[in-house]
Amino acid sequence: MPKKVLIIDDSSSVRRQVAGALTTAGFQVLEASDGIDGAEKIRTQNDLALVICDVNMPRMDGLAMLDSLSAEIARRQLPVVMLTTEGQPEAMARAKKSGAKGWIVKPFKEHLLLGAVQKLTQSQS
Amino acid sequence: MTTQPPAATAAGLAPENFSVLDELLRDCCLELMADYGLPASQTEVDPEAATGVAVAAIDFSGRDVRGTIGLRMTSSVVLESYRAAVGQAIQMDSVEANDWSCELANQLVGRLKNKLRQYQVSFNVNSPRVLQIFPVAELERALRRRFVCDGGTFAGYLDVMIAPGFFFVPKPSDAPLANEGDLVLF
Repeated sequence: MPKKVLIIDDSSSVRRQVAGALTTAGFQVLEASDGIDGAEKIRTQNDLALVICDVNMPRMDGLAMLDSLSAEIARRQLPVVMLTTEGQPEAMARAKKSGAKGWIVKPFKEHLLLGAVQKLTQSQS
Repeated sequence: MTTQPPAATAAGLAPENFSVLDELLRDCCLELMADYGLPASQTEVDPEAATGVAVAAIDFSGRDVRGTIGLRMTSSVVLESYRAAVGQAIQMDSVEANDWSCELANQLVGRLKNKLRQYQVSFNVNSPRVLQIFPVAELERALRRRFVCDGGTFAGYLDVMIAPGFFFVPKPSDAPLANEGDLVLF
């Protein structure tokens, strides 16, 4: 059964770009368009193997979403990788503190993204 | 190449600040498109000579700087960069093309923000938007750089206000910055 990855990004182009890479590698993909939509899907989808999340999004940004779900993410040992144009150390430190396992600065290199996803989901087979 | 002070005056910037921002805008634009397989060089082609264009802009606001960064692209630049990123073809004026134009503006401001880190300047970023009417007069007053690449042209615009008395001076930072394409595992 393919592992399920949630992609949270307000850009449909980026979601399509990431989804293309992941589905080719054998992952199942679910999409959300902002932090509120993403949080809802994380709460209701208990079989997620990993979350890829943008930072700057309308309604609720990725770091705020991560803060609000940090306890649940820790309990479920759900890996979260931030995928963003931001490279600021303060934002990275905040994400790490809230339980993120990785940070990728757009535009992403497909092999690096896939490598990180495979590494972080390896223990869940 | 750095444009001389008269352009700085037109953009309402001190020459020292203009120089820094002008170079950063140029580098951000060139690096952005090069990452999508569109190496470019500077040009002074009249932006009104090209038809079939997309313009996306994004506002930013911080303690020392605030403003708008814009990206104006001929349709081929939008379509080719999308194809390079996603591996699919799209139609100009589609929802997807508009979304991609916005994402490119988003990535452009991200690059600017990352480069301004060396001056310990930071800002928050709003959501990008497509401009249906190209505000020529407004954007032409801004700092701008125009480029030509295979099959198309694009231009970056930076309309910026700087806090009184602020000058861009490089300052060392003790925390490492993640650059475009980097992966950091915690």
